[in-house]
Parts: sequence; C-alpha cells; structure tokens
Amino acid sequence: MNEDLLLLKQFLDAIHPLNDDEWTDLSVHWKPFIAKRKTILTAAGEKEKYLYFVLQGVQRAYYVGENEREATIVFTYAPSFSGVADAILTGVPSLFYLETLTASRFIRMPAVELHNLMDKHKGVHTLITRALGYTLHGVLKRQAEVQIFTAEEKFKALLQRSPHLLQLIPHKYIASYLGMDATNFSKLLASVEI
Amino acid sequence: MTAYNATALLDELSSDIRTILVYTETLKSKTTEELSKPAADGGWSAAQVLEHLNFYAAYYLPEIEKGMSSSNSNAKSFFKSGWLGNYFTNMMAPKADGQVKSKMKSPKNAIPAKTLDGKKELETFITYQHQLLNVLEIAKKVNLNKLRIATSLSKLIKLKLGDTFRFIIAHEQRHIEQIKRVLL
Repeated sequence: MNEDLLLLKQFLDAIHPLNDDEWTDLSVHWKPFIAKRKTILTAAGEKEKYLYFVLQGVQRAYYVGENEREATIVFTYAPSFSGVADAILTGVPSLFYLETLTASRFIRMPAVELHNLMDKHKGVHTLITRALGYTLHGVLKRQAEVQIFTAEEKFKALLQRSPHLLQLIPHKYIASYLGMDATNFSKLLASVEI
Repeated sequence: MTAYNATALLDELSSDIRTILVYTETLKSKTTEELSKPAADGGWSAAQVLEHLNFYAAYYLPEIEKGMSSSNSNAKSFFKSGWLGNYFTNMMAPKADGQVKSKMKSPKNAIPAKTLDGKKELETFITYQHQLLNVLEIAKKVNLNKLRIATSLSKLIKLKLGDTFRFIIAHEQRHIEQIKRVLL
C-alpha cells in the first residue's frame, strides 16, 4: 500500500474501520490529483464529481450571493475529506465554489463509485454516515457560533480548531470566514492576545 | 508538437472553465444597460461578446457530443497536439497578463447583433460552460488524439478533440479578457 492510501486508511479507521473486502474495493478507486494554488475544483452550479482526501495544502468552499457578496463556508486541509459534501451525497448541483488556496495534493475518488460502494458494502455505508455525522456536528456547532459569538470569539474558536491557518493563507479569507471585512480583521488581529 | 498527460490536460481545461465561471458570477450583478454598453472604442458590448461565444458553443458542443458518442476508441493516457491545433490555440490564447497578442476579425457569421438581452446571453453562456465541464469529464474515456472534430470554418478542417477543447477554451479566455476591458 502506498503512503497516501495508508494515510487514508488511518483516517478512515478512526471513523469506522472497514473489513478487508470493503477496503480493497474502496482503495482501488482513489487516484492522485494535484492542483496549483487558486485552482477552482468545483464551480457553483456544477455537480460534485469527486470525494477528495487532502494530503497537502489548504482549500476553501465559498458562496457568492447577490452583488458578489462572498461567504467562506469552510476550510479543508490534511488529513481530511474535501469536496462539496452535500453535492457529493445528493447529486444536486453545488451551491458553492471549492478552490485551492495553496498548492494542493490529493487522492480522490469519483462520487459515482462512492455511491456504488455504499450500496454494495454495509461498512462503507456506515463509514460515510458517521463521517457525515461528524461533519454535521461541525456545521451545527459553527452555526451556533455564527449566531452568538462576537467576531473575536469566532476568531478564537477558529484558532483553536485550525491554529496553522493564520500562517498558511491570506488573511482576507479568514476575514471572510468570520464574516468581517479585511480591515476590521487586521484590527482584530492586532488587538487579540493569542 | 507538445505532449500532454490526457487527464491532467482535461483537468486543467476544466479548471480554466471554472475560473471563467467565477468571473461570470460577478457579471450577474451588472445591469442590462451595463452589459449592452458598447466598448469605449466602439467595439462590442459584453452582451455581444457573450453572444459571440454562445454562437461557437452552440456549434461545438453538439459536434463534440456527436463525435464522442460515435467514437469507439479507448482513452489514451497522453495527448499530442497537432500543428494546426497548436497554431489556432496559440493565436487565440491571451498572455498571462490578459493581453491579447494580435487583433483578429471574427468571421461574418459569428458577428453578434447590436441589440441583445445581456442577461439572457449571460445565462446561456453559463449553461454552456456547465455543459462543457460535463463534456470534458466524459472525454476522459475518449482518445483525444484519434477523434477529430470539424471546425466551424469548414467541415474539411478538423482538429483533434484535445485541440478542439484547447482552442475553444483559449477563445473564451481571449473574449473574457475583452469583457473585462469593456466593463472596466
């Protein structure tokens, strides 16, 4: 097994271990994929064709609303899944753009194959349901934060979850994730004790 | 001629289309008047440029789909561009800074009408880009070298499928730069 697949296996085992048959069927579908920084992996309106597993780099999913207002929804980085989750599972066109913020390395599998394997193997089904559960946990938690946290509290929560992001990506994306404009964010950054 | 990894080329072209889609997202907030305002030098409006691109998409997409569905060759891992395909693509493609190398004249049949519904052209354009993305994905199962697609210039002038994609997308990039200049 190559190193990338080994990393994937470790990641999956922590969610729900697959038996040998299930793993063999699943592992054959992952192909390496690399992308330069600022590559759009999925456009809004497009079906999500792949489930990604991030090996390197930072990506973000963002929404573009009326008058080009933009909301950064989520950052992804190694080792974790990436891709527009709801679109992968439902087949509905993505509401979001998914882009790389830094040069990125992945392995990825076609969403179609994932669906087939979920039908074929109970273990794969359980794995994806659990992974989705964790994702939903994160999304709901963030929903609560968005509603009650001050900008500073949101920022501290992000730093706790993903302390390395501040060094890796331009601050305007972090500002966008926090729902602030870039100027206010740099003021916040100057004032917060980390 | 340049040789490419076929899948990587298709991924890169898809990513180019998505970059165009990110830009056209910003056009949604423009008014019909802004979209139909002629360029300062009297050149085409954004709406006209979009119609021009839609004209080509309306020709090439069905040709490509037809070609791919009747093709029974297996995918090859590499693609070697042809001399004509390279020539056309290089002629079209804007430089990295968005400048175009040479001014060109569009064929008569591809010159857009003066009055157009820019919003509708934009919507059509976006729909075509999504179709193009699907076609690029399906093309991963096709031999990009062997399948040839007739150009809109003449049924007798054919380009390899891989070159057809490169050419169409370079053409779009060129004209997207033009829209950026018009709406500056």
